[in-house]
Amino acid sequence: MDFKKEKIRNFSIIAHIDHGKSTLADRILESTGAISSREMKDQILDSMDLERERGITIKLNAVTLSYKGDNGETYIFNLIDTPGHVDFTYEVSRSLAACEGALLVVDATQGVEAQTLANTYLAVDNDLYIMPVINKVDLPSAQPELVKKEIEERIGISCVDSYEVSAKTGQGVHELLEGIIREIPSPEGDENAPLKALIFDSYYDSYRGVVILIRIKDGTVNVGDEIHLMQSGKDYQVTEVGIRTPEEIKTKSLTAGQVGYLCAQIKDIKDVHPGDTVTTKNNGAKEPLPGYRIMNPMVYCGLYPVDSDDYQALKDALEKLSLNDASLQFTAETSQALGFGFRCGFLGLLHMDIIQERLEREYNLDLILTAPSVIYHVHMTDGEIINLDNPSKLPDPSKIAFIEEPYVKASIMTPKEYVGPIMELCQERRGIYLNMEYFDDTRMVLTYELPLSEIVYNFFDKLKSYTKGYASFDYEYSSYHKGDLVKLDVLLNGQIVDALSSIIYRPSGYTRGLGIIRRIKQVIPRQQFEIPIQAAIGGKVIARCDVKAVRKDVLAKCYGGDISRKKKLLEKQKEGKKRMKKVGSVEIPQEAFMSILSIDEEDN
Amino acid sequence: MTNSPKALYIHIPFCEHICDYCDFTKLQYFTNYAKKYLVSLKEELDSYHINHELNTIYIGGGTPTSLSDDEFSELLSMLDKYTQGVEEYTVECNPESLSDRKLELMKEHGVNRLSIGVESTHDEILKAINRHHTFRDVKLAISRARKAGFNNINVDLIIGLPHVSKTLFIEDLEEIISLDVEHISCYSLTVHEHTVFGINHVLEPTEDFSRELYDITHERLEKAGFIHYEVSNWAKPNRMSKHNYTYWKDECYYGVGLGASGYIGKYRYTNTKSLVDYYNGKFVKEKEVVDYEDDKIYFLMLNLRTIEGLDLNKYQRMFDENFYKKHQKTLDKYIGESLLIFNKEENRIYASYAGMMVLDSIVVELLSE
Repeated sequence: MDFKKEKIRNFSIIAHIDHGKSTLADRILESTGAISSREMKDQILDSMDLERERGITIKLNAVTLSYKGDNGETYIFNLIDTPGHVDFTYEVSRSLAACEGALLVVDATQGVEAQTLANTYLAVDNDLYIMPVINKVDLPSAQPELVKKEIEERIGISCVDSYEVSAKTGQGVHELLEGIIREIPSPEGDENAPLKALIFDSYYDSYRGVVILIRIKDGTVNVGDEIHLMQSGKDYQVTEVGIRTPEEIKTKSLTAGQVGYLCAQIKDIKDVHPGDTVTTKNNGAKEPLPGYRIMNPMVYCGLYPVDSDDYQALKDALEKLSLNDASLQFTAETSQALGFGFRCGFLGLLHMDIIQERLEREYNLDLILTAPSVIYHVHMTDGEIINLDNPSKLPDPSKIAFIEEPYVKASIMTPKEYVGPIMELCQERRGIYLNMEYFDDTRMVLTYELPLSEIVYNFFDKLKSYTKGYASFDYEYSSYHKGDLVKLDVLLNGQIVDALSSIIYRPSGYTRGLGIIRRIKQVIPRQQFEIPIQAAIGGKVIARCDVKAVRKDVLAKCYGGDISRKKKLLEKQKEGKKRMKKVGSVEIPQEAFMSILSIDEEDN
Repeated sequence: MTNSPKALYIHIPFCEHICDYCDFTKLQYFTNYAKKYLVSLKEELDSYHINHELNTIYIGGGTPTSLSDDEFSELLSMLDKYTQGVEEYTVECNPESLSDRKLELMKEHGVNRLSIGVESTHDEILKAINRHHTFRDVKLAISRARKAGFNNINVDLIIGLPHVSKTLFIEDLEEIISLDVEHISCYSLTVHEHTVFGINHVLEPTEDFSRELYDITHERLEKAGFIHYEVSNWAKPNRMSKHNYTYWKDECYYGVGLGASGYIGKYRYTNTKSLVDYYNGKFVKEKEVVDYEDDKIYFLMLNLRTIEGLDLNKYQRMFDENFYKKHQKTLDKYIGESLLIFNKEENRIYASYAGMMVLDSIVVELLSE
């Protein structure tokens, strides 16, 4: 497939969740004849089961398609999919940087949402040509004209040349494909210049090592070339290059403008960073491509096997998952309460959720997750700075000068009637008000700076319930600020359970402490003895409640017909017991460890 | 077959009216249904070819006495050939349908134990749960039964019915004791989904209230000379239900009739609850093979319900395993807390009253080891 740059179109699709991005991608694949509709599973780009179920794209994918235009010429389309969640914003920006254009998909029945805005700005930042695509126009409630007006007024992108499609029925898709040829610029770049290729994704293959997905900006890469990764500083020899249609087709080389894959016997995915620049070892580029950032995990939690015999299995599973997920970090740790496990770092809460589900589903492990924590910068009196990812390890307060915590800049788009409750929520969560503006006649955008730890504490759920689900929310990491923070310990039966410790804002200590222990009380089943649950700050108990001892659990009637049913019931209880962790003499169900998060102020 | 069941349960699913809490297989009585039912019942009974002596027969329901006198007579006659050598022959009765004629028939056919559903001694409560008798009916029924020569009578009482306060319940107990019967069953209310209570979201008594009422029952009935011999059962000396002991000792029994369960050889089975299927001879709906591990669970969970408890020698014989040794740590813990009691001479472990009340957690802990 040797093609002139003029015949290449590199583009992404950006959209809010559920606005039909993946369906449109499928339709494009189908229309370009890459795959016949019979072979198609729905949403082919989202290949993980989990992605299918959740309807979101987690892992990036790119496909090369050939399309014969109405003018009789054949074009190469490189469609680069982007993940649809705030945890992966950086990956989105890198994949956008590999394109010249983007299809901005907006649901004709929903209009513009916060995420649409955020991703569009990312595309604009990357100088992309943006084609507005109004999707779902086949629905009776579609209002394409209104949505176009909204795009023009709110995002500032002209909709004179917008496209009305139904990804579901295929309506308007042909016109869209012709529009892509006409409107999206063909790639620039000099094939004779030193090699500069942008890494926008990678995955691990047990035969070939890490497979890197790249966009060649300048120059050419050939099989056999010695390459140099400019940010990680590593050198390799290229063993294979090619394109994905989505089946891989090997080629001899990739040249400026093309999107494809590259293998070079790279053993560790952690050496391959999205945003890094590939160049040749000899006569390489002087400057790397702009926009590179190191991705650091933002949220940490402890992962422990319920059955301590599963420790090795959990380790193996984490190692396997991290082969393909450079942003997943883990180190061994021990908890007095939970035994041997791992402290794992994630890009965000969704990332954490996904890893947990994959471990439980694909590796069949029963896990206990401790409540997620952010990284605190603990400044000691002797000037040392500790990056703390595990609340229970907070040093003696007398040796701490001050603690800093990470903040995010959050934009919340909401129908205007909910502005009051949202402001109240943000205030409650120690938000710093930045801005508020009208988005259109009915909606407003609120901008706050919020401690990340407050978002980790059921912020999404709260926001949803405060706004009946109408608000949408987006955030980016901003900076660290000093905070009046203390460690809250939970004691069960008089013993501190390290895995239940959290770092909290001192003035809300009592409310939060009470909230946590009440929640724990609800999930710990009655046992043979009374269990006091206490919340303590600095060794001083601030709140207490008790789980009463079991007083009667026996089934009243047990005659002929009840016997088999009763046995099933007992066996079910036995299974439930297996999933509990014994700490001292107290049996604690998994939910207890997450209950730190789900405290509800109304409970108090 | 040496292991042939020695107990026979017969289910009569008909009732004149349906009680709000009842979860048993039950149907509104119509004479046409009942006649046809007795034909199928005989067919099922015959299919077991029972030609050895039984120890106990129990006719339950529903309401066996809701049958007409003729049907009732037909039922008892059908069972005559099994009564040889039977020590205990029980029929469940409703106070309002226990006529002199029925008492006479039962006496003739060898029935020697009656179980009467009293449930509450307060008429306004009885009315509220759709029972159609008064406490006066109960007293009259019992005195007629005595006159007819029945000297082994059980009454049922429900603990924790809606609107029954602690004071009302204590009155219930005093009234029940004054009936001077041989056996009392007290069941904490369980609300099942497909009952009037379930549909109306009636709440079960809380764990603590239920326990409090059981404590009172335990104390008052023991004082009145009853032995608390099973979680929900109290009896005068030597008046424990032999038939029900079959269940609690994990022994085999025939179960015949709509929705009835049985345990024969290695199989536990449950009959269909569909009258149409039953009429068409499709009796058994579910069948479970009881393997070695299942049997251990059944044996443990059932035996620990009674004051006889778990016979460790029998356990060793049945399962070729030393139960005490296997669970020593847990057993010693519970024995230390006086929830379980170890009788060394008889090599038997049984639950104290306090242990019986929390038996589920004890059993689950033992099963988890």
